[in-house]
Amino acid sequence: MAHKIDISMPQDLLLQSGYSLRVTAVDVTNGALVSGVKVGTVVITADGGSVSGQGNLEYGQWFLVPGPGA
Amino acid sequence: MADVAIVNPATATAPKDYRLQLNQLLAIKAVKASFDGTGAAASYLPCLQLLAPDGTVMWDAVPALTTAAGASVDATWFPHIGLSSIVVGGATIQSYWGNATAADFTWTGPGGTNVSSGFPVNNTFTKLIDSSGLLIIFEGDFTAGAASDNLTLGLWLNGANRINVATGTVGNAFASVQGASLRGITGDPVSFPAGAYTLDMRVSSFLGQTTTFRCSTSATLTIQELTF
Repeated sequence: MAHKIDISMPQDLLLQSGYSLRVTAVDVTNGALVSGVKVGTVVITADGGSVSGQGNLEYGQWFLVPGPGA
Repeated sequence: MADVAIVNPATATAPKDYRLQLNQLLAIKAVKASFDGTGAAASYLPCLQLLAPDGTVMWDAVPALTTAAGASVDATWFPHIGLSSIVVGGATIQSYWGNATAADFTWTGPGGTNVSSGFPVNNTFTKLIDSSGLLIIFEGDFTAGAASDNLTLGLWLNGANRINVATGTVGNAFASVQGASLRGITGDPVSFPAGAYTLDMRVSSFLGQTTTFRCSTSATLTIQELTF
């Protein structure tokens, strides 16, 4: 069973096209990628008023969870 | 407006990227991700990064505590929290219970030599965090030999003795020992980094006479991993 952890991130993040959020696993001593770690479900919570762009369809395998009435 | 969720449910080897497309604008409130470290090459830090269009890493958000190779973690990133650590001090991260062998362990000599008892059967403990402590508590019962003797019961971690206790016995008597130790706290000359530890409880008879360690029913080993 995985243990839970809360981590701080910058506040008031407003991202625009071309920028990426990356979920990864790094080495504690040198920051390099640690091989063999698998990332499962990733959920980004965003301000609904800010989601704009190409018809709310996201990049690659990412998708916007449909809201009520979808 | 209400918050929305943007989800990627697929499992993939790290890293996993979400890139904003043309004309897209996004105000991020939180990010949640699950990590499976079963196949990790080393201990690791779950990490969220923001990448510029040219790939430059603008910032890293990592916790203060490392996750051991083999361990899994569910991480959530959000602003306005002051301490990026897994738990507050004094909390139990995990508990371990040693399972008994199928039968009692009976041995004869050599005198004063520690021998492996086969207890516990579940003989691997994976420590999750580098800076945590280990509260180790154990006890065990013996049926001693005919002559007065001195019996010991101890715990070896990765082949090194970390706690050993002894009791004197009279002939053909029942004997019981208990031991406890808190390791990995400030000042401990031995370090206990995150990772897998082989557990081996060893016994000895000073005289080397036939003795039974009643581990099938009368032995316990517990370990709690604690934060400070």
